Amino acid sequence: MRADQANNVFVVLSNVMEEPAVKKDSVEGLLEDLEEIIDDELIPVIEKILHTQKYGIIESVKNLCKDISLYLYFPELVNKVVAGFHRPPQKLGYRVIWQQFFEDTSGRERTSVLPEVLALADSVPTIIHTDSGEKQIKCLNLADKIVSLTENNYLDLLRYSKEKNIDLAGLLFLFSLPSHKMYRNQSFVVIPENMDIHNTYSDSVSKLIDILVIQGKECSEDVLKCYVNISKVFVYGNMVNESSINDYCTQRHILIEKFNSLSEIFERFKAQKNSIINLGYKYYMKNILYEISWYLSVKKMELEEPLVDINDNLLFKDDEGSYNYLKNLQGRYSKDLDSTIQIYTEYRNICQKLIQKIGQMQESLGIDEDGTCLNQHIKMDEILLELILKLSVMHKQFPEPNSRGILRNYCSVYKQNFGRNEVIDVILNDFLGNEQTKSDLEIFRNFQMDSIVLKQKKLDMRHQLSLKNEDCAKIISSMDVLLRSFEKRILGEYCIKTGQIELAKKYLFDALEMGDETAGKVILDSLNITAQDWNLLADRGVREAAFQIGKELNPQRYDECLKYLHIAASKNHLRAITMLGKISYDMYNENAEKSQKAEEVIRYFRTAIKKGCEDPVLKEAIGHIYYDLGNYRSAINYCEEADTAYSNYLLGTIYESGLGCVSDKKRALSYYEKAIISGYTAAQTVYEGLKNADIKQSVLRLTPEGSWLFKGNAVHCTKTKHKSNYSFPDEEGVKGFLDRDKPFLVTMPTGYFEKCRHDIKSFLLNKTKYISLADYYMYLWFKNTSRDERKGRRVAFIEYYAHQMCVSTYVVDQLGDNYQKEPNKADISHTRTKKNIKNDIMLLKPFKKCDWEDIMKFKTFSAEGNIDEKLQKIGVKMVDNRWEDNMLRTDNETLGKIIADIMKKQ
Amino acid sequence: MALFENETMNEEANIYFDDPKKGIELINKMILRRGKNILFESERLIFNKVYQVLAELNLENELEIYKTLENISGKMKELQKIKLLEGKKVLGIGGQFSAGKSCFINSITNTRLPEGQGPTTSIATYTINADTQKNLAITFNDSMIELDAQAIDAITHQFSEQYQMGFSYLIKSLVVYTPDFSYPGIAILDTPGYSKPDSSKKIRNRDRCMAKEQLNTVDYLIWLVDVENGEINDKDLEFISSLDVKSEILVVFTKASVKPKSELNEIVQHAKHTLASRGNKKIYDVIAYDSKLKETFIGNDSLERYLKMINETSEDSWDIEEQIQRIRDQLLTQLGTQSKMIQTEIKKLDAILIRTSNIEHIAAFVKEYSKCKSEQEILNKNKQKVISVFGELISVTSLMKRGIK
Repeated sequence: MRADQANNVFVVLSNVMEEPAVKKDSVEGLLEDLEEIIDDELIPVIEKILHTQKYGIIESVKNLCKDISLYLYFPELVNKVVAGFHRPPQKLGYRVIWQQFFEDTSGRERTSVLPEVLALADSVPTIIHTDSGEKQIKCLNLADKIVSLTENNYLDLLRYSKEKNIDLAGLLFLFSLPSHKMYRNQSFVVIPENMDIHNTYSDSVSKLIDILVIQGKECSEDVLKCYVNISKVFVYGNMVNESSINDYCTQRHILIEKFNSLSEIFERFKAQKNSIINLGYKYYMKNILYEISWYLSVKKMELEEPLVDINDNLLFKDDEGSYNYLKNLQGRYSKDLDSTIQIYTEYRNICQKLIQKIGQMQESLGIDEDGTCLNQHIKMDEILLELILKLSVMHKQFPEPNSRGILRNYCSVYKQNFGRNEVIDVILNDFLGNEQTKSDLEIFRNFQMDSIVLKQKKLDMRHQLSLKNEDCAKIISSMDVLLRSFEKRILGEYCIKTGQIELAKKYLFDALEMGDETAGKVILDSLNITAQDWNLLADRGVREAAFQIGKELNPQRYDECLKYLHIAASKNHLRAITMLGKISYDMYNENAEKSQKAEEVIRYFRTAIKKGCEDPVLKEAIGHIYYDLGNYRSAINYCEEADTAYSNYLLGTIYESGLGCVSDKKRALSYYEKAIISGYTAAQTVYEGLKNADIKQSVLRLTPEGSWLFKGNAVHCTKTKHKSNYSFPDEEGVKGFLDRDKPFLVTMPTGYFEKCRHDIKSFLLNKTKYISLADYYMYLWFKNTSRDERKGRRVAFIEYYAHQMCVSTYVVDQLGDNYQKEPNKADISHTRTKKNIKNDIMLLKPFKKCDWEDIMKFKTFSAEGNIDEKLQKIGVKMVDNRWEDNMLRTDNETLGKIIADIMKKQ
Repeated sequence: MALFENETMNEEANIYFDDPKKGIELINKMILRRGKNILFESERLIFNKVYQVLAELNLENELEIYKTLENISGKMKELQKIKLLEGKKVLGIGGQFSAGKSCFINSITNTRLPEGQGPTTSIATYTINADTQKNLAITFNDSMIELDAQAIDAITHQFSEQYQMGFSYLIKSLVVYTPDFSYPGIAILDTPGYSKPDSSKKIRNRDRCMAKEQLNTVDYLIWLVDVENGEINDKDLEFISSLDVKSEILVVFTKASVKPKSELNEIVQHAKHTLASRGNKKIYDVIAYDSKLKETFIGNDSLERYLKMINETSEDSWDIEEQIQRIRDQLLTQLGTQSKMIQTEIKKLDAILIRTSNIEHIAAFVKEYSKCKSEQEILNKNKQKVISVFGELISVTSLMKRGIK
């Protein structure tokens, strides 16, 4: 080798081995910024997110940077249709391409200069682009530096590499050659057969290709798959697996054109007029990045759902333990929600940074913000649609000031480029919550695209689109992603239909595992399952399974059974609810935790009845408990509806004693009879007793009208003519009567008693028992109302006698357990001159400082029939006075107890 | 035997330079691609699988684990290096550009590495004890080629000086075997300095990254500071703090002979104080040393003791496997803790579900209960996944280990 030639080799080599000294070019600067944002910001945020594809996303973003960097290094690729010549058979292919584009360019006969040497590097991909006069040959070396070569350098390099066996792929990633014969709007990339993993840009190079040129026998599905962005394949020569390739291409919307030779293909390119905007990288980037935003939006939704439930439940405080647990749970969910929102914000900011950088790059290459002429790029259609779908979910969950505008904007870009107005309208209307038209939905339903996001949207809208399970199953099985729970369930159901039981089982159990309860029901209904599966189903809240385990009530695992019954009951399992009620009722009857159990029984059985359980025993039990609780009205209602032997017996006792009702001996007797006939023999004795009993009545009562009643009959008494011309019983007469007939109890209006002479007063208090009507009514009212009804209430009794009024007020404590008479003494006003009862009432002492509105808040009773109407007229709500009559019918023993009780209260 | 036999050899007398045929052969040797490495492929695949599993776990220190795994993956890619360094502890020598690294290394290894600001310093160089003198270069595509002294000289000097050919992207690291370095348990790593004073911010960052990447793989570290600087400055501190090195660091003030002993003493004491108060790393000692005189001015025999300690702790360990196991155990522990937490949660819910009788309220608990049960199931599955995927990873690494041996 001659020394100068050797030096020449070194010079040529050194040319391409130059290392970048300082990266001050904006191109590399931008790329480095991008890498920095990914490494320092994106990765740390993504770390906090539980997304199965997140590392794949980082890789995609990094790859995207690499893809873009090719455009930055070789701007001649921008806005060109890029044709890739895949592995042309060495001799013919290179020679033909060379002849076509480079021969006779400088008057030098290349073929004679390179008789044996192939004119293109056969291990380094080579870009051929339109010569815009600079005639510059470039290469990208392993140090990521763009190096310029003269024509001679280039040819020498190729020659030496052949002669000296220098492996150029060990030094270079890419060549770029200008040719003035190259067609406008196009660039070619010749992709060598042995470009391999050592070429960092191999993937990015294959992504550049819009049209693949390939020889028939080389063409296979596997090769086509490497070129993810191609929209056309030009094939020359005979194809081997033509039909399978046709299928593949149809599916991917790739057009195949056949040619006899490469020269024909060149002619075809010559005729191709269109250019292309191939730098929609902002969209690419957004589509990749928004995968995570989309995921976070869905996650936010998933977190909010249970929170609503929990918050609802927190309104009631049942027992301390579960309340605290719920409170805790609420805290956890809210915290998760907050951090999801925070991560979203962080992530969104980083995305914006990255997208902005990409925007800058596009700008530096002279590409507009949002290119409009995107429609030639096969993937852009899909990417833009996916972007719109993702945005519609994101903006719903994380709305921004101009969410609607942003989405509308994307939609119009899509419509401009790809049409499909109806499809886009469905998505937009779904986002805006507008009504959809039938025809749009029909078109959306039939619109096909190989996009997971679109498929998922269709599945989400399956009811609206009236997709059958079968249709859904078809869509789902074409998706190569992690399925959501309901999708698995639908597949499972479909598998059952087609008899693939094992597969069905797998899908359904997966769905159940992911929280789809319906899947549990399908499993129960259609599959044979093991004992272990029962537990699994029950644990996931499948009510029938929970009930089956719970109903055994196996004493060895009583608690567990109870737990499962509770689970079943919470899912509205009627039999479970009934069963739980019965368990509590049994315990109630055994006197265990009586008050709590009473409450439970009533709650369970009422729910069961509401949900349609017709077992009369339930009503009987409720009636029984109300009876025990002294809520006789409710007891009567439930017992009457139950109409069982025992409930009839209870009714008998109620009517016999007039509990919460007018005592009715006849009615009582008939209920006892019914009870006896339907088998409650214990009623026999009471029945006999009642039949023969004489009701003891020994109450002396002074009516407001001024008559004395004893044992229900009027008693003769001397009356003194009152100065108001109203006759009223003489006190002396009363005294005599008391001495003679010894009544058990004397009642009279409060005011009258107050007015009695002192000696009569003490006589009354010593010889017999005296309570005021007001006290007595208050007592009865208290006994006959529910806690809720009476807690915190003020109650007033207005007694009206001999044209005078007297009022007593009572106040019930906040729990509803006790009441007290208020210290205000009753006031009596002479109402002869005052006709207006409203004014009268307002003049009464306890009300003196009240507005009428306040007075209306009192629960009011009156002791006289006459006044009731008047009170009602002015809007005072009355409670009926039947108790008064009851008092007369109460036997002395009961009465004694009542009085003792009242005295105790006072 | 000295590394560069003919010390007076002038540059024209390099055969690779004089005989272009040989020169081209040398370059050819370095850029020759190898076929696909199946082990390498399976390593990538298995790492992807590991990340997939990792993505499904809810971890506290995911980023840390991810980075460690990336680090391991990087190490595994440098298959040849693993072979070369097996059983040795790597002692990194770091410091700013002017700290006198090459000189220091020559001094402790008794060799003569090229000094100066040439591109050598941008190629990581290991010095290892061996019976015979030998130099190896590991190329960008993981081939290992033997280079004689002239070849190294040609690559590091003549070619670059004459033709501006850059080799730092072609050669990942150089390994110098020499009987003169007397610690068989230590591999000394000379890294590129991290700040050329004349370079832009970007390139500084890049250098920094490279230096950091390399220093992060070392087991021990000697940090050099030019005594003329007079102190450990913020840059030093920042860099040291950012490293992953777990063991104690020896800090050496070089070129000690230029200062009087009293001043040296002051400087050392001040540095000790600075490191103790502002650094976050364990410091073995701070000494003042002169590489040319091979003499320690302050710090007695700290340097010898430090080297001896490293040499003695070295052991025949397949460190990568251990690291992988450690990560696996960490993951399993975390999963175990999570599993326990869910257990407790389930127990609590169990109690509530048995006790609460308000069926309308139970619904919320049932939902949570079934969620916990599912989570528990998923945790178990993930545990199996972790065990299986790490099992695969370990078997791939041991396969590699055997392949290398």
